[in-house]
Amino acid sequence: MKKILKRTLVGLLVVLVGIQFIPTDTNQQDGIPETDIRYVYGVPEKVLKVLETSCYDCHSNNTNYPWYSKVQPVRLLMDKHIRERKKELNFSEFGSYSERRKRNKMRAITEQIEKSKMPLPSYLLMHEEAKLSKTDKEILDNFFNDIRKE
Amino acid sequence: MNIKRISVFSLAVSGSLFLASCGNSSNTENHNDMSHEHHEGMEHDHGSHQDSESNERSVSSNSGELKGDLTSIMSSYFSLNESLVKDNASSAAKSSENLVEALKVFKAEGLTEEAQNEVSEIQESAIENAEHIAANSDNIEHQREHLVSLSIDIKDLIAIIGTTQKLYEDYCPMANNNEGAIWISQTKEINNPYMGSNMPTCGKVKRVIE
Repeated sequence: MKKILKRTLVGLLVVLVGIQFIPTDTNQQDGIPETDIRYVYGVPEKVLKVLETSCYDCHSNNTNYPWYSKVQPVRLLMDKHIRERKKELNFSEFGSYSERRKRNKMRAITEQIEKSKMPLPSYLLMHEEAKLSKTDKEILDNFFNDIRKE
Repeated sequence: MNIKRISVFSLAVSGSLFLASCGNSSNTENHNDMSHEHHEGMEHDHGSHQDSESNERSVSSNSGELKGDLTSIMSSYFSLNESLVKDNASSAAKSSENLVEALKVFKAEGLTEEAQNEVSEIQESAIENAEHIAANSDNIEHQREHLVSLSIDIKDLIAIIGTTQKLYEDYCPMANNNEGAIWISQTKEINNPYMGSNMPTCGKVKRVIE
């Protein structure tokens, strides 16, 4: 019985060590691309600050990786999530979207923020600073609504 | 002996995790192929459906030249709306899967470059919206959010492509968090896909499309 337990633990350890060698994506790029939302519209500094703090980790080409991202299988899940979220909305590539898609995205952004669907609760668990205060929400809401009405 | 077996197993597990992380894109392609086949079946179904409702069709033909065939798209869009009127999210998701496929195979003809670009943008946007509706079979609220944009796409598509069917642009001021939203219907009577059974007749015909 003891033998089985020992072997299982050894096996588990081998798996845990083994998966550390899985290659990872790194969602970071040098400089800010021309298509970043800040160059598409005149994005005020305070709006940009909220976006960068609360949205850019998953919705841009620059993720600020936390220490635990170096550990598998955390990184695998994180990579997958970031790939999917960027496909949905990528502020670094906002300028390459069609006008129609920009409008759709802005409508969706204000909706998600008003209904407190974003940032995701699972993300906020480890990123308390990303939580949107009432003022933050108003800042984003006003900004996106103003552009939509233009 | 046993330890060896366990290590082989562990390697296999890490190996499959690795494969899982890389195999995403090919999976999606396969899935698309399959749905595409399914779609061709759907188009067929639609033919008979159309005949049974031919009395609903307008006899006066469109004066402008048609730039493509929207019947397959419209049929899926209408059944999506019917499902939402009945508050049936899972059937709305199924109709929306068909809509995605119909939108993917749609080709416009004889358009100027500018109009063709716009049609491509509409298709891209409508596909994205329809995919969300299809993926949210358990969240009717989110499906309805995407119907707001989708209906604008469909309206704009009709404006460029044209229709032989008499259609109605309906408007409900209470939809979309009281911001108001439109949808396209083939009957004059109001069946509101945004409010569903809560207020099925909220709204009015804003415009007749012929």
